[in-house]
Amino acid sequence: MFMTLKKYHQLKREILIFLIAIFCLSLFLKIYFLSVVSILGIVLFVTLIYSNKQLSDEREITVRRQAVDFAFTILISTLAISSFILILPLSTGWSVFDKGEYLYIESIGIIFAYLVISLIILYSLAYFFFNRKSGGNDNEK
Amino acid sequence: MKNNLKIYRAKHSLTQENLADKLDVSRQTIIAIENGKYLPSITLAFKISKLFQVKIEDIFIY
Repeated sequence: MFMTLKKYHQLKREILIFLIAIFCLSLFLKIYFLSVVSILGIVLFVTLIYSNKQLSDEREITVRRQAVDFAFTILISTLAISSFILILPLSTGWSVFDKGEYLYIESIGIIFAYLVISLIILYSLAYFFFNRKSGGNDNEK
Repeated sequence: MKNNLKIYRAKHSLTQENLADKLDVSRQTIIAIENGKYLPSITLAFKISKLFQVKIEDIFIY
């Protein structure tokens, strides 16, 4: 099993602490939209995942993996498209944002691009490692 | 894939809860298998067949 039940519960606690920390920080910095989003995240996380006391078995592990696959695909696609939209038009001159006026938008695009590339590299390495671990590179003897 | 889990469970007078306890899975998993919404792993399929003392193919129809 990739993740033990103990580790899974620990991870759930850590995610909840992270969400609460983001909420407190956003209140402190007066970023109210982030506060609302983090509250929404906390409510969804607590009601759908954290309070779920059912026995963790192979079906639940399968469901968890499907959820991770789905979330990863959506996240990386969104980040990739966002980075493309934010970077490309600025350098080609047909942007809705005028070059120079919204430099921070270009910066966000560059950060997104780095993030996407990092995730792709991480995924490739993880795929290689797990494929090798489960006998994917073994030759017939 | 169809299966006869519900029939074998009824033959042995087991509730979904009892069967789940014996197989060390949740009741939701038993419901999902019976309704054909979840295909169990080969380990769980063997556990089920061993519990009912029948072959796997008697329970799971391919």
